[in-house]
Order: sequence, then C-alpha cells, then structure tokens
Amino acid sequence: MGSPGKRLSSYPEIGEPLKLMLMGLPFFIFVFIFSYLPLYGWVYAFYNFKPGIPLTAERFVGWKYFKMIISDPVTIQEVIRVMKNTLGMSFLQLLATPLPVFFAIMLSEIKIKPYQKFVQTFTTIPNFISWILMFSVIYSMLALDDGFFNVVLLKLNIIDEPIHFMASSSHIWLKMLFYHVVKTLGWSSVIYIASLSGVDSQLYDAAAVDGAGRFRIMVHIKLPALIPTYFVLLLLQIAGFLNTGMEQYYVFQNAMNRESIEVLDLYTYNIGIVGGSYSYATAIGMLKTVVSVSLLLSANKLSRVIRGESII
Amino acid sequence: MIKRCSVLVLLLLMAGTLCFAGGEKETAGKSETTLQIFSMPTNGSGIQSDPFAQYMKDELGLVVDWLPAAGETANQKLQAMMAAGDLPDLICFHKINQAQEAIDAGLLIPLDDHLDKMPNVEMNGKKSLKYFADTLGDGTAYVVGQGINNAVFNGNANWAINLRWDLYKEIGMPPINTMDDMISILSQMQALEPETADGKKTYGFSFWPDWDGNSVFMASEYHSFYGAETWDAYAEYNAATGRITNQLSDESYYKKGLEFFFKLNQAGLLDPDSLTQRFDNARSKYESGRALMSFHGWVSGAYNNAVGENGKTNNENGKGFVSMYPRDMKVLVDQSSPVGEYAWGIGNNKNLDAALKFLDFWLSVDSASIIKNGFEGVDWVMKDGKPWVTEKGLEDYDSGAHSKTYAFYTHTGLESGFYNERTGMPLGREYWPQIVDRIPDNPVIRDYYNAMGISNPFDGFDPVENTSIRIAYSLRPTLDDDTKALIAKIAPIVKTASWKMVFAEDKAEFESLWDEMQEKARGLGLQEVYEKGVEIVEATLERTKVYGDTTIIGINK
Repeated sequence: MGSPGKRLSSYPEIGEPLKLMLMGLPFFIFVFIFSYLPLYGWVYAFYNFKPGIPLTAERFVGWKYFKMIISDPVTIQEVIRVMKNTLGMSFLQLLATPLPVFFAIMLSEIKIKPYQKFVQTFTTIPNFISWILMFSVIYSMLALDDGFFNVVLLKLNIIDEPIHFMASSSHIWLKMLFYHVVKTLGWSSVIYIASLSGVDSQLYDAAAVDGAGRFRIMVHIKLPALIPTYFVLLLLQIAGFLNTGMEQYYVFQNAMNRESIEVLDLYTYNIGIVGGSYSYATAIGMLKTVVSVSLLLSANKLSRVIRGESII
Repeated sequence: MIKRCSVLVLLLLMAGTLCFAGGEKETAGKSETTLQIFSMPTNGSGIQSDPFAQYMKDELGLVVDWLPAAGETANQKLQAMMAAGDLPDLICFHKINQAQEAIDAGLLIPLDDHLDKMPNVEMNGKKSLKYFADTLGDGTAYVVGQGINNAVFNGNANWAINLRWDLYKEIGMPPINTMDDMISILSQMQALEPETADGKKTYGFSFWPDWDGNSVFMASEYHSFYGAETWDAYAEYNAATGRITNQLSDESYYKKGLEFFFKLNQAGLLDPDSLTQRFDNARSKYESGRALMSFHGWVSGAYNNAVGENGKTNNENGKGFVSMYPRDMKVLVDQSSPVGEYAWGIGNNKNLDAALKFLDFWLSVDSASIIKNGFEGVDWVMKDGKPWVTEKGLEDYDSGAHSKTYAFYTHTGLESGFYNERTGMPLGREYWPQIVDRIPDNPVIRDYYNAMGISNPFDGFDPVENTSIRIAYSLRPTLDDDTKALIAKIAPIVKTASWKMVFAEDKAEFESLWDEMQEKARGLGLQEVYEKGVEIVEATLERTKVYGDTTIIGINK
C-alpha cells in the first residue's frame, strides 16, 4: 500500500481502500489475539513458572527446560515416540482428506432430494457433538458388558467372552482415524457440495451430448472442479492440524493404548497440566511449531510440484 | 383478538412482577449468600439439600455450592484456577504443597486478621493456625486445618475388607489370614452369585483409574493394610516398621499391591472395566451388587441401603457388606493431630463475611456433631449430664438412614474423637458408652457378629500390634520444583506400566513390564526423586514429634 497522503491527493475516492481495510481490521485483530498473542506464553519455557505468581516474580532459568528434553535417553525416546504418534496420525488424517471430496460427489449423485438431505444432515451432526459425547456414544457401543457390539456378538454366538475394545491397543491409529472420519466427514464435505453447485451446468450438458455417462461426468467434470478447493483446504488443514488433535486422544487414552495414542498436544497436557510442570511442558509444546512449519512447507512444495502454484 | 391477547400478556406480566416482588420480600429479612467451595477431600459436588445444608441455610443464611473437586484431576483444576488468579470462596486443600503454592501466589486471605469473627476457629484451631503460620506463612496463618483432633481417642481406619456377608457366610466363613486368601474366597463367592438379579456379571473387585496420582491409586490402597503408604516422591514409608523403601523397588508394597490385583485378574475376579471406567461407574457397580469386595466402606456401602428384592433394602433382606480385616494386618489409622489432616483457606473477599461465617461454623463442635450424631433434641439428648442417643437416633443409626442422609460429608472440621467440653465426651457418638456397649440392630451386622462371635469388626485384633499410624498430610513438607518436574516425567510411565501389569497375560509378562518400567524410571532420575522423598519423610517424622499425637484405643468403622 502506498503512502496515504499521496493517495489522498491523487484519488478522491480514498474512502474505498480505507473502507476495505477497516473491513479487514476485525480479522487482523482476531488473528493477532488468538494466534500471535499466545506466542507470548512461550516465555514461560524460560522461567520457573508457578501458577498465580506474576512473571516478574518468577525465577529466570534460561534453556534449562530445553536441556531437560535432551538430558537423558529415556526422555529422548519418549519425545520420539510422541512425535511418531503425532506424525503417524497426522499423516493418516491427511490420507483421509480426499474422502469428503468423494463423499460430496457421491452425495450429488443421489437423485432423491429428501434422501440426499437426510444423509447430509445425518453425517454433519457428529461434527457439532463434543468428543466427550462422541466418547460416550462409542463407549456405550463398545463397552465390555452391556455394549451394543458385545451383546450382539455374544447373542449370535460369534464370541464366548466379551471383547474389551476400549482397552485394546491393536489398530489403535486406524480406530482413531475412523472415529475422526465419522465425526468430520459430513461437515468437511459441505464446502465441496457448495463448489459443485457452482459448476456451470452447460458443462454437464455438453459432456452428456458428447456421450459421457455419469461416471465420466464425475471424473472429468466434478472432480477437476473440486481439486483447487481441495488443495487450499489441504494446506489450511495441514497448518492448523496439530492444534485440533488433542481432545480426541485425551478422551480415548488409557493405560493400554496410551503409548501409541499420545500425540504431542496430549503429551504436553499430561506433563504440564496433569503433572503440574508447566515450564517443561511449554518447552515441549514448542516442538509442535517445528512440526507444523515443516508439514506446511512440504505441503506447499507438493502443491507447487503438482499444480505449479503455491501459497507461500 | 389481538387486544385480548395483549391484555392477557399484560396480566401475566403483572402477575409475574407481583410474584417476584413477593419472593424478594420474603428473603429481605435474612440475606442468603451462595458460597462456592472447592473441597478436595469431598467426593461429591453440587448444592445439597440434606438437613445439614438446610440448617446452614436457615440458621446462617449460607447456601454452599460444592464444586467438583474429587480425585487427581482436582489438582489440575486447582492449578488452572491459581494460574488465572481466581480462587473460589473457600478451598480445602488436599496437600500442603497446594496450600503453599496458593499462599506464595498471594491468593489467600490472611485468617489472622479476621479471628474476631471466628471464635470457633480461634478456639479449636489454635494449634493448627500456629503450625501453618510457622511452616507456610512466615508467621501469618493463611490456612487452618480440617479434621482437627484434640484428644487421644482415635482409630478410624479408612480401609477394611468390605465383603458381602451373605455370600461369605454361605461359603463357610473361611479365615482371612492374609490378603492373598481373598482370591480363593472371592472365587467361591463369585461362583455362588455369578450374576446379579438383572443378569449382569459379578466381579470380585472393581476400581477406577481417574484417581491415579503418580502411581496406580488402588495398588497404594492395598498396602494401607500393611502400614505402608506411598508419598509423593516414590518413597514408601512403612509406619508399622518405620522403614522407608523405594516404591518402585522389588521389595516395595506397591509391587505386592499390583501383584494382588494381577492375581485377582488371573482368577477372573477383577472387573476388566476398571481400566476404562470412572469412580462413579465403579461406585454404582457396587451399589447394584456387581462387585463383592471393596477396600473402602464409602465405595461399597451404598449397596446396603439400596432397594433389593421385594421392595426392601438389601440389608433388610439379609444381604450387605461388612468390614473385616486380614489376620496379618497392620492397618493404617488416621493420626490424631491438633493441626488437622487437610487445610482450609479463603480464596477471595467477594463473600468474605459469609466465608468467615462458614469456616467458623465448620470448625465448631456443632457442625461436626450434626454430621456425626444428628440434631440435639431429636437424634440425641443430654441425660444426667451425659449425651444419650434417642430411640429415633438409634433407629437411623442402625438402619443406615443417618449415614445415608449425611453421606456427602465424608470429612468434618473436627474429628469424631474431638473432646467436647460441654458433654464431657468425644464428639462422635460411636465413642459414647451407650453405643460402644451395644450390638447394632441391623440384621446383617448382628448376624455377622453372632456368627463370628465378635462384638465389633476389630474384636480379636490388638489395637497397637495390628495398626500403624498414618501421618497427617498437613505435616508433610512440600517438594521442590525440580523434583516435581522429574516426577511429572516419571509418573505417566509408572501408571501405564502398572495398569499393564495388572492385566498382564502371565507372571513373566508381569515381571518384564515391571523391569522395563524400573529401567525407564531410573533413566528419568528416579534415584534423585527418591532421595528427596526420603528427606521429606524424615522431616515429617520430626514434625510429628511436635504436632502429632495418637493413642490407639481401638478401630472403629
């Protein structure tokens, strides 16, 4: 933006850009408050923080808590384990990102409108339910003695002893991914459904005239129409992904699955809030930024290679 | 039509205003204040409607909203409130380091300045105030004890083998020499009643992970029977022998506790849901008869008065839990201390007068007496200068109606053994000769006493030989931050491994999990933590000489 003085003299309609800027201002403030201001909290990693005592009265300890992360092999192993979980499950979730695209396309193929609306609403609702409630629902389905699945399996004589689904760590990453997809699929597809409705209907007609069937229309018109949206959302999701990953694992964690379920956010929570070691937890939490930035850069690179354009 | 509707709305509005004005008038005479209390030793939460709460409302104009504060997650809530610099009106701290942190952060109101408004606190809590002023507040008392005692009467054991008497009798009352005997006993009992009336599987034991601190909570409860207690820094202090051991060493009682639960699980007696359920789930399982033994009367007791067959309570049907002890026990009994077990502080001055009023009442003889004995003139009277439980009082005592009504108040400001000058007797009626010398009129308990030939559960045990004294939390000095940071790293590993050990496939897996956990904990600085733990225990024992005082005369539960 040029200097306002010059613009004022040369453009009588200065009101316009100023108005636009003012319209954007709330979002700048929003981002500042919720994304930049919290970074101030990083200073706690350098102090011996005790709750309730102002920072000025706390003891400055420098890099002590960062050194603690690498001070002994067991801690390093722990951090590696947690990183592995975090990256492993983020990667699985990224693999699942095309699902809403397909879901939206499939949904648009349903010709009976009321049924289509029903499916859409039904799959969107879980997104608005908290993980605690999701957990209760899943718990009541998988619980050991009166859970739906165990009762059915027992009644059908498929098993003799009830299976303790919740306390098993087998395929835990896939299970977590499944719960995640169940919760978010409908909601994530909303934006794709909206983009589909923006596709020029002449394209469909032209394709139909050229002899394209339903499947061809899906592959050659609908899918390409959604790809740009998909990549933008993918990049956004990668950047914000690590911020949202904790609640789910928090409610599902137990002694049997903790080792493979503990993601960085949860680990930070377990050390900081449960263990009461805030400064150390802050130092570990800062690792998240390293992961986030590296993920974002690689996604950006991917986008540049595939689509020839990038956002950074 | 529209006109008529609007007239109706207007009338409704006016009626509403009138009602509202009426409500205001009523309360204009005595103002009611709602206090928010975060009491960590209290298991329940919410605004209560029992006679004690009613009494506070009517006589003192106080409504207490007990915030959920039980279990280990309570500490997280407390820390969050402290970080925000916003504590509720009153807090009852579980451990002394929590009180210390709140004092350091300047979040508590000094009690010394307000003693003129709290005559009971000044009188009954004198030594407690002095102790906390000396140890925590640089000469100013910010907290005062909870569970204050001034007499030698004691012997309240929090732990017992609470066992389903009806089933135990049916299998022929095999002797309980050690805790391990419980495995075969419970197996036989489970075989007798494999399912509840509504067809749900019964287990020998059920517990919950949400109270786990730095290790598995229930494994630590196991060694309470043998005098050992786990302290914060993995130091296990055995009050029976005076020995301090590393909790994570091979000879620890903690490992024995895990092994006990491992054996229970191997025998199919442990509720597999123990790993995933919460305290409330476990307690309701006991209430509905799905588990046959517990370590705590306050977990299994609800079964006794729950409605069973024929619309009668289980007790009336001759079913119920009674307290027993293993022959080789050295069970921990609470230390009697004029300092108190836990500590109360006032968190803000928004409702200062009401908070002072509550605290003063809470530490009065009256409040503990209502909770323990009911109301004077109704449940008990003064007869020939001595307290005497009335017929109604006895009835409620025996039927369990009293303990059910006041079940919320698991802790009182003053202990049962507190000497009440007015009556010349200890405060709690369980120490009054009238009660001590009689057999309760409860079918299950009477049957239990008759069949075993005893007059109380502790009959046949030696008050000194079979007990050990649990040192009050309030006497334990606080840990430094570096040790706490190390514990924060070690604790998750210990908890995970411990639970896996309980549910291990076989003994070999059990041992290998333990070894692996030991190795990791050592790598994270266990030795350093443990040495700090030993220092803490030793310093506490020094303090006990000055402030603790316990003479055991028997166990009461």
